Amino acid sequence: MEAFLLQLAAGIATGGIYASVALAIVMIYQATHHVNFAQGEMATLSTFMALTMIQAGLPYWVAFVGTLVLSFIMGALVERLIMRPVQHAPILTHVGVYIGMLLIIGNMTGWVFGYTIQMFPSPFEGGRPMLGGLFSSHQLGSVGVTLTVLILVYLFFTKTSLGLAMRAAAYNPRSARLVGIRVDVMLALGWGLAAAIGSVAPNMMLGILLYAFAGALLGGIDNPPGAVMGGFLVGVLENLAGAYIVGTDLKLTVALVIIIGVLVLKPSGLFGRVVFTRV
Amino acid sequence: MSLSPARFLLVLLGLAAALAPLWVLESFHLFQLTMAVIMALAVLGLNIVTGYNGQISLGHGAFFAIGAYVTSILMAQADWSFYATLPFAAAICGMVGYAVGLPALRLGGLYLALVTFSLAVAVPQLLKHKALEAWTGGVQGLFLMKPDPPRWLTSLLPFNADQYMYLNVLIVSGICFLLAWNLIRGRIGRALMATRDHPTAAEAMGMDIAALKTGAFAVSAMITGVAGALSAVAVEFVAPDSFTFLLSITFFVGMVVGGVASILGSIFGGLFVLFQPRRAGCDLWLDPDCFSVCASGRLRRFGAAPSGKAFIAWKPKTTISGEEFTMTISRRLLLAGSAGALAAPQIAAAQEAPGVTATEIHIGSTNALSGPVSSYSVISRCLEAMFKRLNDEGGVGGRRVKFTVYDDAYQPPRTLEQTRRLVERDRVAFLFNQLGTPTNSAVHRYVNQRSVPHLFLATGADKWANPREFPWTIGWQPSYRVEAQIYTKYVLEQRPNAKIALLYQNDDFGRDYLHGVQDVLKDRFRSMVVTATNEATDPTIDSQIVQLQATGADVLICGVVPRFAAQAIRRVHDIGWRPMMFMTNVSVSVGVVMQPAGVEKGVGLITSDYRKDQSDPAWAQDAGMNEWRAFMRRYVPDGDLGDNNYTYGYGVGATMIQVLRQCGNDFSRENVMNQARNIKPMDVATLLPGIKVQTQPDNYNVIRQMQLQRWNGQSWERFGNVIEGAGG
Repeated sequence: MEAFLLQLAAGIATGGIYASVALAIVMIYQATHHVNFAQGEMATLSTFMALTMIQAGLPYWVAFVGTLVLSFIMGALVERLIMRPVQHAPILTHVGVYIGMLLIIGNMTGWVFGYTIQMFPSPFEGGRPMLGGLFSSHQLGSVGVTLTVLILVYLFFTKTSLGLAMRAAAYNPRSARLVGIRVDVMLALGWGLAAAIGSVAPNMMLGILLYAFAGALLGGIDNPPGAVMGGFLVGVLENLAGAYIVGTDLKLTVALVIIIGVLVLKPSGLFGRVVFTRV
Repeated sequence: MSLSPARFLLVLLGLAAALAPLWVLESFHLFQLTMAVIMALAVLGLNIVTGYNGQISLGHGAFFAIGAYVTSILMAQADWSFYATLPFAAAICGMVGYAVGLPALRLGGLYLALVTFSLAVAVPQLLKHKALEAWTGGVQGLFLMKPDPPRWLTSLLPFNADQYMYLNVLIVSGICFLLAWNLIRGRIGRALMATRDHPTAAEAMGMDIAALKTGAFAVSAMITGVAGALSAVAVEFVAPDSFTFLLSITFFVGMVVGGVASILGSIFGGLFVLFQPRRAGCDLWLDPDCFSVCASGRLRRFGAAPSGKAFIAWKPKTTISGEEFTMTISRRLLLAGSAGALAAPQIAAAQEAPGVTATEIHIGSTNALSGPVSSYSVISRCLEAMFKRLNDEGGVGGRRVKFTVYDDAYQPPRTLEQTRRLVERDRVAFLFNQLGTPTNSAVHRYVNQRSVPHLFLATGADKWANPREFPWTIGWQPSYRVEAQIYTKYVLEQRPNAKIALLYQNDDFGRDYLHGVQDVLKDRFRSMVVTATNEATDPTIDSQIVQLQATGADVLICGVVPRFAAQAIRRVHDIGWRPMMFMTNVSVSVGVVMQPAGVEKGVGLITSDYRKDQSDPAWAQDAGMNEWRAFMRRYVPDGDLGDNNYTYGYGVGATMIQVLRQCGNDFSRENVMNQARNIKPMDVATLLPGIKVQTQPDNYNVIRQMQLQRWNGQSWERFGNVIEGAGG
């Protein structure tokens, strides 16, 4: 029983990572109705920015806010310089651009910061294991940060006029423009937000992106709280399935099965809205 | 389809251009061109579904892998002929493609991209799975043989295996291209495009959208699968690590560059993905491919540059040597289809030893200068600096050493390609310290067939010490298997009734630990050991640790890479598990593992080493380490002194230089190998006292001793005597 609880806790902790990347994916989807394949690379770049600031002697939380701001600027720039010119192009063009960004940002990060593994300090270090040893303080801390960001994003989109304007710009650009919303500004803002949120996730790698996709789809790709729930769910499912059902060497396949399963059985996800397309 | 005279002439010219390389290109270039044609075929497959039918696929690497594996399994396990396997590879890929295309019917373009993306990421893991290992060869992969040219052909034309392979690939690809051409030009092709451009209208016209879409997917997967099958035979090796997500991206890039929805464009796309990245390697930072020739400008980029100093330190390329210039030119000529200039290097003086002139010895290597494990590229950097020091001191045997390192991005097919480039094009004297187990596996047979010394590899796999079957290959560091044997022996001595938990990475590296433990325990393995595995792509291994703890084990042996080592140490401590814990010596660096894990959390952890740990105060005044530090200050001033890849590089470099000195004035391949297998026990500056570098003609375990050490919270404390492992 204790082992089961520990597996559950480990799942929730890794789920936190998936949830924050999934949240970033959903943000971009809300802003542009596309999925950004370069999200993992952008998050890595943000991580290295944060590390550079910390190594330069800035306090952790200053570096944290600094990274958010820089990532926001980076995201907005990407929208303005790269995505805007292809705004009306077919999906294939967008996917091509994302793949290009994945390669360029990934290689650039390695070029500037080197490929050596570096240690990233945790702000939640030093505490004792909590909740009866189920979580380390670092794990609880990162889950906490993810949830806080989620709440902020949720409030932003539902309670502020800026957030409403952004959603309008994504769902129906033409009507939004008619009621006086600057659609282009909104889209840039959306990209910036997504990049900033992605920067909370402290890791990189394709595997994470895969799990995050699974999480975003499971929760519903147009629903931020759903994506976060989905991220946590995938984390737990993946860990439990790895431990008790398929064995640890088929974990990636679990994510694949989740993705295909959701898409085939319930494409809108657990918490998403069903969308009809009219001709 | 009637041909006008002009068209006929064009076709004839095209045919001549495709066949000409058979006679005008040397083997290595022909091999490259073969790979380019294969790439073109794979891009064509992608183009049918994505370009013509508008369904975005990011996972064609998966079909490529399936095709390659079907052919390899039938050839290696069932002794089928290569030709008989092709229809099977095509059929199975077609079926998988159809199955993947089915959910796509209900989904928009973006979702299909997601499904195929996840397929591409998950397939390599499936290929490694235990249940399939009997067929797929697991992480070790499978070796194949190229078909030999039949007698009737060789009696007409003196073809070798490379030329025959090119001919085969050309014919199969030609057939596929013709079929695709026919398909696209006809009614079905127009229906495909109509479905892409306006699905609703197409449906209203009475087209069966579902059949068209799934059919397109099946045909596309089939063609890419055939390309995969051809590549498996051309490379003569398949392993799961050859089919990463990057491969799918490569196809995608090839399609976009060559031309979306264009059959001829697929050919250009294929040529582009094979040749362009390497061309760019000399000019751009994106793919730092040729390391030594651009060294002065590029070298600095590989160290850790914590504060973004790399920008300032990096000088744009201002030093084009003559060598590099000719290299660039000749590649341009190749692309232009002219081969006159390429024949020239073939006329190298035959009586001299290859790679050796009166003033120079040319040594070749490959390393992961880009990609996920490129942190090991500092080893090449260290070796480069050591040869520079050697040259500054007057060289060896009156000659300077030239060291060329090419990037293989840790992808086995690339390693083979770059190794062939070194051996056949650059005509290096021998190969030295190539990085990685899967990568070296891909060239293992090639170098032994060609009798090229393949010396002191940067991998601890057990299989390099096999003088009887592979006399030209020799490792250097103690093998992982020997290490695991030592740990297990120690466990049996301390706790005869232990229950051992073994956590290992699901690849060649991790499996050696499994084998080492099995070697010692034999029949008792089943009752004494529980195992768990992790993938390199896993974000964390928390789950595995918890699972192992729940079995009640009191000993834990870990064969995992540094990132997971830090997690394991931290997690074991945090959940209150206190086993006797062993960590592979790959993952015990103080800076990279112990500090991130938390120094107090690792107290009691046991590992082994053969090197002096540079951060250990015991070596602060050590003569050998002072020699190393002086070298680092002078030749690698911005290198990270905490990175133990530099002490490794220094040790392996010193061994190489010793062999060169032993050679006297004879640097023929036979003599180099002969000296490499006859090293009298010698001390090396960065190795622990008592641990010798040595070889005998029947024992290729260069370093076969280690000492256990324990973490005390600040540093590693050695204890016990130097232990000699038994080897395989």
